[in-house]
Amino acid sequence: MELSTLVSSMLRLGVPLLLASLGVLVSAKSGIVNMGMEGNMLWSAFVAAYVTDLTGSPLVGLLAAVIGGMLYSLLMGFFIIKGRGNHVVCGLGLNFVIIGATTVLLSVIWNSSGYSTPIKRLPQLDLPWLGQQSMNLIVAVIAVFAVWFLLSKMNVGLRIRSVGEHPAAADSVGVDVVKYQFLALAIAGILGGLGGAELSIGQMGYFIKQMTASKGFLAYSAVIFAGYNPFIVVATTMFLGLLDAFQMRAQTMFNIPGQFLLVLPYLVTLLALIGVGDTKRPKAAGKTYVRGNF
Amino acid sequence: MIKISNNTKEKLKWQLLDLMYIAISIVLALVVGGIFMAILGCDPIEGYWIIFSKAFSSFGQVLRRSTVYILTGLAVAIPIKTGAFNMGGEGQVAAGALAAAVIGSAIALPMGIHPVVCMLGALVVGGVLAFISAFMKVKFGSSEVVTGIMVNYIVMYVIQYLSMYTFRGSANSAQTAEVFETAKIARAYPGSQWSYGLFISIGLCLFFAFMINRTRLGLEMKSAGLNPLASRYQGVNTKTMSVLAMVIGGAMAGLGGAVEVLGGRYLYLDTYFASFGYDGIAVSYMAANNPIGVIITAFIISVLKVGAVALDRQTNVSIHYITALQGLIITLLVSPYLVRAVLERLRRRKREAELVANEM
Repeated sequence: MELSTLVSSMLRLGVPLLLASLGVLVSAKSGIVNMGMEGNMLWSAFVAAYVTDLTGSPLVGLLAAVIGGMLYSLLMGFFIIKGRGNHVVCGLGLNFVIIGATTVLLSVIWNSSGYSTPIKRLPQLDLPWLGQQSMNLIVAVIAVFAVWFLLSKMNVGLRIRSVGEHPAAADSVGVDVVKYQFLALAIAGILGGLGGAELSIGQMGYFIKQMTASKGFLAYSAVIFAGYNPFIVVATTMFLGLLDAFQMRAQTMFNIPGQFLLVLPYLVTLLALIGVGDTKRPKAAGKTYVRGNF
Repeated sequence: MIKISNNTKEKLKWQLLDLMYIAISIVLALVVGGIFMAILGCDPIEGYWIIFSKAFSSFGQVLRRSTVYILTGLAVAIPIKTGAFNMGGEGQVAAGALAAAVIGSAIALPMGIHPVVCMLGALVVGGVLAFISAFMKVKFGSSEVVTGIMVNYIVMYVIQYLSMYTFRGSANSAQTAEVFETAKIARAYPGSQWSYGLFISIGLCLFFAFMINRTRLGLEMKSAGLNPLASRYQGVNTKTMSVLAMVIGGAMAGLGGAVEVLGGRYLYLDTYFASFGYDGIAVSYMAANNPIGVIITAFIISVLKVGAVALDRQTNVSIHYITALQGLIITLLVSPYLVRAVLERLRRRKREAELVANEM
């Protein structure tokens, strides 16, 4: 197979993962275990498709997906921070809400149980060698630097990180823990929204039932492999993208049953989790901070 | 004498609290479900009438589904006692079902022993799958939720391959051959939907309720979940407890698949077993992870699922609304301070309004 087509499809498959992973990373730094990223992406993919279908403008659809993703993420924050819910279970619960809701809405809006009608896609770039790429490739590149700059160079980022490492200490010097966690979740929702929209209106031009296929969890794992570093996240998500790209090519090239190739990204993720422990995890991850009770 | 009666009182109080919790979650489920129906433009009263009349007319179907839900509910409820979350139920059910179908249709064994061997096979397969996640959790600190989902996908594809090629028993679809007569679990009466498998499920609930509340092993499991540090200090091997509880959970999910194969469908059909595992999460959480409570909530979820088929057919409310409903119930149930946060906000707003009114 040609290298350029492989790289091109790696980028296409990696970009949604990269955006979602950056979202998971920002929220993780504030101490939130973001198991709701799957729902975040699926919801945004749906909103993007629906609003694009409605208005005829993919850019409006993208904006709607970003807002939708942010609202979803803040809702999860409301359950986790205000409701003091278990991070993992709240995230999983909301994933189910979105899986159910989008499937129901799919049948209500497009009168179908699997696919929406074809939907206009975002402007596509025609790059030399790399072929056609969605404009979100550029957004993703900017997002990597933006997330790095936010977390390592800005005051806000420092506060987000302090909240994730030791909320009581942060609180004692006047950092509003709840505010920064919600802020981190809003940013995560925006990034997850971009990633989700990329799936439906960036590439496919359809909304498909459960089209994320656990990409949210792959994104979560990619962040762990990367040791919570935004630049290494690029490498890990692109590697998963490459696997997926290879898997798709190999299905047409070799005489291997499709199932054994489809399994690749999940199998590699599982094996990689054996090799890499979650050691760089923020200290207060998964714990809900309650003043005077820590 | 007084001491004993005090103890009993205390215990009764806790059991009553659990019962209240279950009642609240059921009411919550019905209310939220009604709101969903209303949003989708269906009269909730009419919707529930359709659901309950369908569930009543296919009561055997409800009991048959309950049989599986009880076991997938246990698959979540037992590990959670040690603080482990069994996300792999989905794969464990399907793998257990395939194992039972293969043993039941490929190996000839005498009556009586055959179903037991099939179920043992399913127990082992489910347990092994759960062991992967549990082992990775205690050894490498990987989230058992993420590994569980990865295992689910791997199992899904591998099983699809196995049912399509290796163990295919039908020319038309990806399914195994029907199990032998000797391997079947008898139905409750000729022509009934549900089988004696239901009693296996209920029996296991009673067994695990006893194990968790009355035995040393159960106490150690609970303490490992409630306070790992203190338990370790007391000599409890919390990691072993976690792995053990997960393996038991996985085995229960596998058994759930086996019971449906041996007492219901009589063969493994690809994707037929989808969503049983995930539904188990709602079953367990609605029951406050209480093994006895699981019997009640499994029944409720089963009623909703069976009824929703009729709702899907007669109105525009798709059956998938149950998935959303379960998700929202789980989320609401694990966020205990949510109601308080909302009430406080309302109270504050009211107070502010009063202050403004007083100043004027």
